[in-house]
Amino acid sequence: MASYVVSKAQDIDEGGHLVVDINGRSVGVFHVGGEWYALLNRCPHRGGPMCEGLLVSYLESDKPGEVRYDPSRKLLECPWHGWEFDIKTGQSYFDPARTRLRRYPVAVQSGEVIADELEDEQQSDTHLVKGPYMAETYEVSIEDDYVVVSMR
Amino acid sequence: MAVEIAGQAHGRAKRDPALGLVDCDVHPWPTADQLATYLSPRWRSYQETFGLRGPTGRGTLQMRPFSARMDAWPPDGGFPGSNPDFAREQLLDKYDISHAILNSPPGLFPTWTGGNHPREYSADMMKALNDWIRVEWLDRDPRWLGSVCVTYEQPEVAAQEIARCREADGRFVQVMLPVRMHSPAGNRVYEPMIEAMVHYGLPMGIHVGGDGLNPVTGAGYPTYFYENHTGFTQAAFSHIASLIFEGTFDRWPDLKVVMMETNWSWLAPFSWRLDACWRVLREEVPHLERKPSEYLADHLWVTSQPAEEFENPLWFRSVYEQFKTTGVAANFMFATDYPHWDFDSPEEALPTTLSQAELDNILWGTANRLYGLSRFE
Amino acid sequence: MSTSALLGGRESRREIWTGPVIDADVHAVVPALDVLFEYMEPQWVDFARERWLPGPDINTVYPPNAPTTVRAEWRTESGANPASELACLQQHILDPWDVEHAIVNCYYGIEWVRHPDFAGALARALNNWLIGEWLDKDPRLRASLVLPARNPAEMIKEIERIGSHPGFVQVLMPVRSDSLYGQRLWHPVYEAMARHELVFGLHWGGVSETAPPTPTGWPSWFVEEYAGEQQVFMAQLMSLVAEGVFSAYPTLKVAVGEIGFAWVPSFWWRMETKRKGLRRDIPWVNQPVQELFRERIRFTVAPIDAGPPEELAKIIEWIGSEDILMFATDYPHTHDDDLSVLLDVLGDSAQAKLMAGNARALYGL
Repeated sequence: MASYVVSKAQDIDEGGHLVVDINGRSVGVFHVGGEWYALLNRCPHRGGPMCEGLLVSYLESDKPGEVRYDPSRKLLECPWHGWEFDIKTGQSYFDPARTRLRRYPVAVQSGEVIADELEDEQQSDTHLVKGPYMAETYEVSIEDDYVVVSMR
Repeated sequence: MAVEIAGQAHGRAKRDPALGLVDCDVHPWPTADQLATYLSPRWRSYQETFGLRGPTGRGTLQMRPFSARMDAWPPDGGFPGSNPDFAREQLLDKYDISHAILNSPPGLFPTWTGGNHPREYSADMMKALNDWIRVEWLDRDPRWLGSVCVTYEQPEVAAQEIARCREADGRFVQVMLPVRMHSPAGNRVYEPMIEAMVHYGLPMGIHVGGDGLNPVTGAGYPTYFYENHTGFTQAAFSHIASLIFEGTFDRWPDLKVVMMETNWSWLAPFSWRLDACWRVLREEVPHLERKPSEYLADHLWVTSQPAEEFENPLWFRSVYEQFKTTGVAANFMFATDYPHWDFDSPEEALPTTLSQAELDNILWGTANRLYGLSRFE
Repeated sequence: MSTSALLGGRESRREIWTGPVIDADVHAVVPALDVLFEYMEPQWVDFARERWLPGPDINTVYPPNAPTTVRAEWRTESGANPASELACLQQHILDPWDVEHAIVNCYYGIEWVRHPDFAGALARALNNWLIGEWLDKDPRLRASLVLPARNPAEMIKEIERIGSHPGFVQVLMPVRSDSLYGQRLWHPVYEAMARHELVFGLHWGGVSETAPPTPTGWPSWFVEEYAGEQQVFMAQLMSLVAEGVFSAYPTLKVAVGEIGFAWVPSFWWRMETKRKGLRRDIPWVNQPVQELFRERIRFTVAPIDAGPPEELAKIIEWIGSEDILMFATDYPHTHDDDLSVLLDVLGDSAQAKLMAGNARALYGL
């Protein structure tokens, strides 16, 4: 798996997201509840741009008028047909076994670690991804933390 | 290429590059200011004072503003459907669509088309809406075609507006009516309007939306958006029964009806019921020249959106073959319903189990023939 | 015109089916209001006489001379509706079909009456009449409780009064109503229904004079209205599902009478497709709609409204459950159906369930 540096961690606010193109795939990187998630920007239902949908809170009910609502648990709702996907697992709400949103490992790494990987010519699996927050060419600063998405 | 996703066979509809692609249902929606530009001064100032007083009876809560895709808001701050350039880019260009037929939602609401406003204001409003469609959409891109919006509860005025639009511009290819009206579509009260449609060779396009100054079901108003939205199809049953049993198709053999956004898998079972009921009750309607199911192939067209999803996706072929027995599968036309939330992408919505010939007809051939699109090439 | 109910001219119903038969829908008709006086509290008899009350009008829904209302072969010389006589029911249906049981549905338009007290009195009298003239006189019969289906409080009172009588297995809920049946104002009635183990019988009839019977106004022709009536049933079933009635009352079941079933798969596909994207609107619907139907909703097969047998076979495949369909004649109404076609399409085990098993399970017979 290769690593793709998509942005500085501080550039994506809590509750925010960034859509980047990695190797021809459009991926949304989300910063929610202090955690990071990377999801394919394509709904498995009919190809809608997932990352333009709303982040909604867990909502469940067994009886009319009584709902269980948990804002700490988030789902991404497709901006087209409204299917909900658990942001942690990518599973669709109504068919968790078989319908999933593709997700990718994502972590925050220090600039120091990344800078080393970039310098190491043997290590060709770490890449910088051009996104709206990144200039055409830039240098990784060892003082900052960066969001890194892993993908084959 | 067919890909198995969640057990469903999907794939890019292998469109024949030599053929066009017709989207039979797109929704432009003017802002109040945009509409006001085309109103007469008398009614422009009326609108500024009293506003567009909308339908109030229903009380269901929207799930999305304008029932639109969340990504269909244009960057200029207007709402989905108000910006023709954005729509062109997001729809026509993106999917290489040859023609798209515009059905403007304000034409669906009876409070605007002759229910809760002075009748002259309603008439001027529909005139303004049609002018807005023509100038801001049809004139801006040759791929757009329009449905005439009318004050359908004033059928004589509607007939005049149909004539006005059609004589001004051949790119009006249909007349749009809502699926909920004050009376079912075959009711004699609408005869002057039907006469105009037939005279100008314009199909009667019946589209979901609105509430015809009646509660939305035969047992009152539903509570949830889900019910109102999912229940639109039920009105199609009533319109079809009306058009057949009132003898509308006998009086107007050239009348064509396009039922939009109401699915299609219900039609074959309903045709059986129509025939079964007629077998018992036929003496009530001696004016019918044929048995009910025999009218469908000559008079009914349906659009594909929202794409049907079956419990087992592999049943598509079987359901489609049943649909074919009505004769209406030959009158099946593709639509996206842009910019609504249940939008169908031409690349994703149709299953790969359709044959190339079937697909060609759905994406292009049927609409091309119905609307005579070769005259626009 | 072929028909199951007349046995298609056969000598014996055993030529079609040899196993047990339960007829899930036969009608009793009140010939005139004064027939109920014997079963009505005297104060209310006086009330009716004082005003020369004619009784509710069901002729809008069942015009007396319409071919659908009474099959020609069953019409009486006097012109009285044969369903007003137990002897006719026995002669035309119960004995020829050699039924184990039949469920009697008496539609009398009581929900049309706005006066809450008289409506209650009328319902009591009618249910007493059903016991006295029908249930007590033929042990094969079971019946639907008739309620003033406009006033939940009166409905509950009547369920509490007589709902535990062993002859009542169902509540007759006419398909047209002023408010859709899923709405919460009706829920206390369902609590009472469920507690008394009564099935919700969604059936032809009713008045909704605040609404025309279609979403798009009033039909002109009877056949137009009649054929299109499926859409009201759909609206009511959609309401029951969407409002979470099945979640709130886990034991409540629904029987749908007199509207066929071939339309059902398309209907639940539509509902389930939309539920996936609109789940947050109706989060208490937390199982696929088709599963809910298979567990909780049943349909009679009068009418069948079938297309060609190979298409009917597809409908049966898509229904995907042997537990859903129930044999019925819908006496004395006219339908143009051939039961033997349906039996041929069903497999062996499904036939026995259709003819008796599903009704036996549903009504606890």
